[in-house]
Amino acid sequence: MFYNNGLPALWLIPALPALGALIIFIFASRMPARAAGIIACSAISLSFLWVLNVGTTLVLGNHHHFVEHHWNWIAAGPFQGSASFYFDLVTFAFTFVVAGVGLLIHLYSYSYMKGDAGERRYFGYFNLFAAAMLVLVTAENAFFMFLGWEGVGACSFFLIGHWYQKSENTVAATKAFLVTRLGDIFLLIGLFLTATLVGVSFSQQSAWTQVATSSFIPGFGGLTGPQLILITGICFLLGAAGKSAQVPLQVWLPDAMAGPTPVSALIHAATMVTAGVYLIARFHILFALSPNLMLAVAIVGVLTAFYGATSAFVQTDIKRILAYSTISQIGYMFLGLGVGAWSLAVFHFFTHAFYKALLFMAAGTVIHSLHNEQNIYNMGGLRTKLKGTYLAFLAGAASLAGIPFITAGFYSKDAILWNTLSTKWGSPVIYGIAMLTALMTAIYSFRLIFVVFHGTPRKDIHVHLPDRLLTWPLYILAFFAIVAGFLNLPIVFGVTPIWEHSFARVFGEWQAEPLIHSHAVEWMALLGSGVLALGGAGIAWLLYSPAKAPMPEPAGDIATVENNTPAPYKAVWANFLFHGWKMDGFYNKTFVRGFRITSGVIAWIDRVFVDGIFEAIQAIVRGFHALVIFFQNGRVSRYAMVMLFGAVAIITILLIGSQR
Amino acid sequence: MTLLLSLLLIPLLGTALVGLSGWVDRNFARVATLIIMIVDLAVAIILMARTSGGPVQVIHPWIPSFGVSFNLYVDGLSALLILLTTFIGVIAVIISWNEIKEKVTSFHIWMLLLQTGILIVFMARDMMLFYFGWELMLVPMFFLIGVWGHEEKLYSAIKFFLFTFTGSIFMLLALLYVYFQHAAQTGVLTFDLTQLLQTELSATAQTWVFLGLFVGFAVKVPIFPLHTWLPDAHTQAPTAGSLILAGLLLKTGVYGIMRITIPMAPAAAVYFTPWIIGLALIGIFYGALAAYPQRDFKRLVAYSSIAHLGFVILGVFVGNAAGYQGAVLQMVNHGLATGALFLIGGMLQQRTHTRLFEMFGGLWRQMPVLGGFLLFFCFASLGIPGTGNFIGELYVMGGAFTYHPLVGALTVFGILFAAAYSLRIFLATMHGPETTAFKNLPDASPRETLALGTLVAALVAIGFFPNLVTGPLYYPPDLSVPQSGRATTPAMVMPVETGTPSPVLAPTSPPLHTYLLPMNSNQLSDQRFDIASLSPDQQEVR
Repeated sequence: MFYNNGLPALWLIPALPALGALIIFIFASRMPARAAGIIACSAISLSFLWVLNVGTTLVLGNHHHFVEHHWNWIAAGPFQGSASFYFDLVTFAFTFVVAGVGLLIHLYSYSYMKGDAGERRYFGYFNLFAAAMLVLVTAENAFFMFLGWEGVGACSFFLIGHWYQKSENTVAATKAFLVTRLGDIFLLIGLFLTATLVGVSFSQQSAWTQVATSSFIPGFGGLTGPQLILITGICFLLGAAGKSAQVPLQVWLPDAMAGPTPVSALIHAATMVTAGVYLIARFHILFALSPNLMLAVAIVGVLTAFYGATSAFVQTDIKRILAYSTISQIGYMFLGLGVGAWSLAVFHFFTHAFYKALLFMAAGTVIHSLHNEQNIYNMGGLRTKLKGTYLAFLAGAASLAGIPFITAGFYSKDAILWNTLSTKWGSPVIYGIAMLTALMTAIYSFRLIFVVFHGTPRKDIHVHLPDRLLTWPLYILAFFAIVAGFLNLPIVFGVTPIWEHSFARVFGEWQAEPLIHSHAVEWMALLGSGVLALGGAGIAWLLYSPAKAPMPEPAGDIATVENNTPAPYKAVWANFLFHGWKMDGFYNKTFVRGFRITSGVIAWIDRVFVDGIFEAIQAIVRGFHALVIFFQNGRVSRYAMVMLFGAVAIITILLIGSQR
Repeated sequence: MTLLLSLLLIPLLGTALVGLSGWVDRNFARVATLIIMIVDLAVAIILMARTSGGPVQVIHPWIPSFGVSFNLYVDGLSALLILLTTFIGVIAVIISWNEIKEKVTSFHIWMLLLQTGILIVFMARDMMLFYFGWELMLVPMFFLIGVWGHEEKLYSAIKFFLFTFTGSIFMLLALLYVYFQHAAQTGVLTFDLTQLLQTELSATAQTWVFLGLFVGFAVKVPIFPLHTWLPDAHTQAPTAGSLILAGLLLKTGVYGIMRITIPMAPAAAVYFTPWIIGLALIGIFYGALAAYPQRDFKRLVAYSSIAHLGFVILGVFVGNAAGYQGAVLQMVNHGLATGALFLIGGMLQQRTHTRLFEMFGGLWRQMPVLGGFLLFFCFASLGIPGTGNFIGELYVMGGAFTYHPLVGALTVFGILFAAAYSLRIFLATMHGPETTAFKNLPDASPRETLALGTLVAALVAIGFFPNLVTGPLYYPPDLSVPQSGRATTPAMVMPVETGTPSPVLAPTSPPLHTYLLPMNSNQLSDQRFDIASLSPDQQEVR
């Protein structure tokens, strides 16, 4: 049961948190609120231990992957998807983060959510989310993956709307769910194409190479193999964009910050939003077969990276800054996928999960300590009061900015940048934009540090000191945010990049070969991005350091971010960036309003016209009824009258007839 | 044989028992009905197990001079729907426990008669018996809506009655035409469907027969634009009435299309397929869009039924295994999930005396358990994986995709709109600032928790093991991919040639009827087992 042929069973990984959720939901009303947290934390820790067990067996045994078949789940014609699990290195990386970082966030939540009215519900959904996410990354085929894919979307909806009595949370949750579901529609279409063409099992994906060479495929109206690959890939890209908040479906993520901060850390930073990266990495053969597709992924990635960085630049809400930075960082992962650096995209996911979860949780600690203050211009001077949090946040921000040589973010991001420049799918233009984005990333990262933690407190707020469960997870993550990068040191250091080397087993021949082999060029690129990061930090110091530049006016009366533009950002460009390039407004005016109006019109048509036809028929029948009852009302006088008129009519007709 | 008869006789004779016990004490009537329903459910479960060995049939002469016989025939599909019927029957009684306070005895008698009618429809092989059952369903439902319904009960009840009755006239005319054609061709007067299916029909005749039958059943499904009775009837019916309407009565229409319309006029069915698929797609989007802005909880759910049934009809007509299985799955899931939404709508109405969304809001604090159930069923309704609804929709979408990739792609967009209205149901009632209109609303009682919990369990079970539903069906003969379950039995590989595809209408059209016939034709069932291997119960029939 727990071991098959000496190999650890995979089903336990998602089953443990699922069991936790089940226990919490069934016994919710009969357990103390704190018990839910304990159950949830135990379930996820067991799952994490089991992930470590499976992972070490995989790595030490030098296996390519494990497969575990359970039962035939989807079985209809060409659509076959079993309930089966698959575990290779990519799965290990994702499960390690989901269960490991997930565990830390569960522990953090135990303290953070203390006394919340919906504590049991929260931990139930938290566990359920972990279970769904683990199904997503351990599924053996894309249909089973879709179970997790939609499951995490649902849990994201539940948890964004956790404080359900506030209408804006509800709106944010609905928006997140519907926008990602729009992406899911395309994903489903892609899945149907995949199922029909090659089958959805991840081990069948090399069959795409045969599709790529066929000029005719029956049943698709004369489309050629490469065209079908392009269509399928675009569908997957849109599906991934919805889940991973990439342009043009990125609008839901900043609003999703309405949920509790640990939710943002787990779902909207470390795990769920990277599902798109996982999807494309799993279907890398499909993507690699079409250069146009690769270019599309790279463009979406770099555009999103740029979009996120520019928008993060002007935000005032600490969580929204981090949300935009998540969008931007996932953009880098997509860029990595788009240039064929599959393993590096996964590596960037890996490091990003640590430092972004760290930043969110540190931000949560700050927010918690300042009694739910989220505007960074109402913070300041927290360096001394929250020393540990400050140091952890510094580590995370440095990693996000990519401070050279000592941070994980530097190694993972630089590797993607270098591949953008040096491989066949990359391009210098994209590289240029990505480098510019890197500079901006460093600026907004250190803007956070200087505005939030340096200077003097702008508001006289009593700082409520965080307890150990709110700080220790930060220290652990801070450790990983620094050292995780050493798993993949650049080859120019004269060492083997362990990560890339190991993942070559998975991505093999589809890994992009570098066109530039010169170590000198690579050193220059490496130093260049390092200089950019440091330069960005310097610029941030010039702009935002309390000593050298005057702070922007603390915008004390920002009640809601949506409705008010803070004082320093009245400029048109800043306003444009502040509202996420005004894409929300655009979508609201077109799609949301369009849907509302259409549905209203249809409901009206249904009531007035479609139902009206039958009402009209009824009216006609009633007309006949009125006619008939005129003749037949039960009164002798009426009958006599009718008889009289009838007799007169008949006689008249007869008379006219006889005269012919 | 006794099994099939007892399934019908238990609710039918039960009416007398309920009448007697209700005369003593009206609570006895409830208890008696519940017991009868549970016994009937038990019989249905046994029947389900029995049909796994092959179809079960009972034939008794009834009116021999007209060729009418008491001919019951149950195969996997029928058994599945019978199980659903008896299951929902039990839930309907449980849920009416506190709601129905007036004329309790007659309410339960009507319920039992209704159940009898539905069961006859799902079992009848004789078309006169089928028609009898069809009309028998109408009267109890008319009274359930008209007497125990809400504000506009009489208007809705009459509307419901007139629509279905008008439709059934078309159906009867078509059936009679085939009956006389068959008599003219063979000299045998019979209403046995198996024999009627052998009737040679010209292309024109098939067209008219198809249209007559289709309109008759389409009203019940309902298919756009014949749906307008549905929102009124669902909204105004008492909770149990809405549950049975959504869960069972709509399915009788689909069942009629699957079992009678398409096999009777296969060539015409192929000819009309694109049009009907068009109507189904319109239903999916029209229903979903019209549902979204509704102000009345039950009315919104009623419109969503139109969208869900659009999926079912689409699955039936795309003409492949995936679509067909999806349609059946979707019938069952819709019965459970939408039925549950009506239950919750009824519970809310009982507590608050309103169904209007603007009166609700933030009720989750007062009713955490009921809110949790509502959340689950709303997500089931929007087709979240892990519930049966997802599997049903996925199969139908896959079937549509196989039919034509663009139709499939279009169908997928239906789930986005489904998400919009499903979320609205939950958010408008449970989320948002707490309304001050209601204080201390009671949460789900143990009785309600039991009813809803059972439905949750059923939906999740189907969501993970769809073979529970698709297994009992016979799989179509032309599948290249090996299927799980009973599909791999060699009998299903037999190609079936029945009906007479008209050369005029469809010279090269795909044989839409072939995948439906295995369940309809005795030819196949003859090949599925030999007489010696039959249980005594079944041998008696032959």
